[in-house]
Amino acid sequence: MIAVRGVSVQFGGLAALSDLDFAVPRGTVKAVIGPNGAGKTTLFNVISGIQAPTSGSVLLDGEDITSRPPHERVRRGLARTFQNLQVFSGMSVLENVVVGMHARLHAGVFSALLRLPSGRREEASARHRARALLGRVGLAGKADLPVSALSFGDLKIVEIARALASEPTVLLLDEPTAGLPASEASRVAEVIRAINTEGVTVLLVEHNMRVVMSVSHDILVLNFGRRIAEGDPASVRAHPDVITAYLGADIEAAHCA
Amino acid sequence: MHAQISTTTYRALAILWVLLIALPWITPNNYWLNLATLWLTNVLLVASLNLLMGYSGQISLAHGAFYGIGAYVSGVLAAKYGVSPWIGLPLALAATGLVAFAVGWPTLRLRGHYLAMATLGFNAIASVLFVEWRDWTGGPNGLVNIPPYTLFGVKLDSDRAFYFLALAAVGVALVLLLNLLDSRTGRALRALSTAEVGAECMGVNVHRYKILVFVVSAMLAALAGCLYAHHNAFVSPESFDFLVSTMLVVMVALGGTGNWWGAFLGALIYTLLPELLRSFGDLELLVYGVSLVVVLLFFPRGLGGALDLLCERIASRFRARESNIHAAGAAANRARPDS
Repeated sequence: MIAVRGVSVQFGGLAALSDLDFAVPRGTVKAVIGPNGAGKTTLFNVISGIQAPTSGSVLLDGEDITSRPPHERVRRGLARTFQNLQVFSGMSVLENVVVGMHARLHAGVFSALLRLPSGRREEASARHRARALLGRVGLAGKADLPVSALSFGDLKIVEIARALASEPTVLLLDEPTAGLPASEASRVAEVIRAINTEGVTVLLVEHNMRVVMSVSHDILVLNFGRRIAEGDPASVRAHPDVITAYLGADIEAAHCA
Repeated sequence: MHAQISTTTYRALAILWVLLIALPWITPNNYWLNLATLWLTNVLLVASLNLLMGYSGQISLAHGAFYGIGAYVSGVLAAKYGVSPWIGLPLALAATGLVAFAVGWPTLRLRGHYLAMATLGFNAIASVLFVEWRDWTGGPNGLVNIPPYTLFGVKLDSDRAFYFLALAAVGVALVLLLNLLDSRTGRALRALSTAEVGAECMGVNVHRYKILVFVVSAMLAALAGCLYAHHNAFVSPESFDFLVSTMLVVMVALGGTGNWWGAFLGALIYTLLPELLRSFGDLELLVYGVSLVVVLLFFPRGLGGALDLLCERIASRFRARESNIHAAGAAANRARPDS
């Protein structure tokens, strides 16, 4: 379970997030939606530890991780992908995924320098598992290509596989289907459902409403860093504040009139 | 772009070393053998900096200083206190590692230009200390009477003996370096060099790995320093000043940043160019500068990158010819009427 308690982030005079409170219960999928600039990516950065909140705390399985650096959060079972990609160029697709296993592997510097057999075995099994993961997301045929040879859409999927490689209990997906054609988007939605079926808690920022509605148990709507609605897909869709935020006050006024 | 480390890299290194064993019987005189020895230590220096710059995306303008600390610690211990160079070696490596740790801890939180300036400042401090700690270092006149390495009571002071020592030491260091690059640690370093935030969010303790690679890289430079000191029997501060650090950065770029064989080429130029340009006198630096600009203009991935490109071209030409032959053969088969 992941939860934020009273989280605010202040950039100078701008409040990116104001006193935000919510939780994603274990084993569920929650989507965060809202217009551009609503604070969705800031929220992800706070949860993953890249951005320290001005106030408030982040809890992972009930434990306060607010002061923990990002790499420790990974060890505790938190993984994420990036809206604008953070792939490791100059590496193969497979190697990118193996980097995702970093926190689960043990070989240290001395094992590396001396090429100890235990380290080599660990390395071989890591590669084997990475290949299997790429197979799961439909990229088995591209495992040995350099990442520079892949399309933006494929790279978004590589990031999902890489995040899964860290064996997360909570997975943060930042716009996983942005820039993907419709067929690919529905494939990603399937992958998200499959991940969730295995018990992984998912928090997802997404603009594609078809995907949001089809995978989430629960939706959180942000605008100007505040929660304006939260609940199951049907109730959120009907919420007047959500319609206002998305379509503008005039339309709502016109609708009411 | 990092060239992949594979078993081919190990094999090529082994073949190169076997060839290098024969070198003393091929070189016409000891002048060339000494140049080869210098080249080997320079390969280690450039490769150590390439580990930091090329594979880990950090910069150090203090590698001359680390090279110097290695040389001075082992040299002073041997020349002034009679400590065996074999004991001086691990002590020099440890001392350099500690200094690198102390320098890296605060500065590796800095990036790009700031890291460059901070390390440059450290090199300036080290240069002053090499001069001012006169009682130990001999000051601006340098440290004299550094004894050579001995093995089973035999002094390794002949050019040939020292060449083999350098060949063995540098060979071992390069294999360790390859092992490091081809591991979980090396992968984490390559990851943080291309996407630092991504690496941190994949569980890589970025700051710790940066310090680690800084320390390892400095210790490899210190090993080169030890070899240099006990070969040359004399060291002086200007061999380790910021100009040397700058040149090493240039040689990494010239050879090809993040290119394994680039270090060999960069070191080759670093070793040979002063010899070749000696006749130019004061123009040496100008020719240096111009050739650097020309190479980087036409081969932005350095000489190593150019070499890779050449190999790829040749390989693809061979493949093309082979497939032509196959195609011609197939065409001939089709043309032949079945009988």
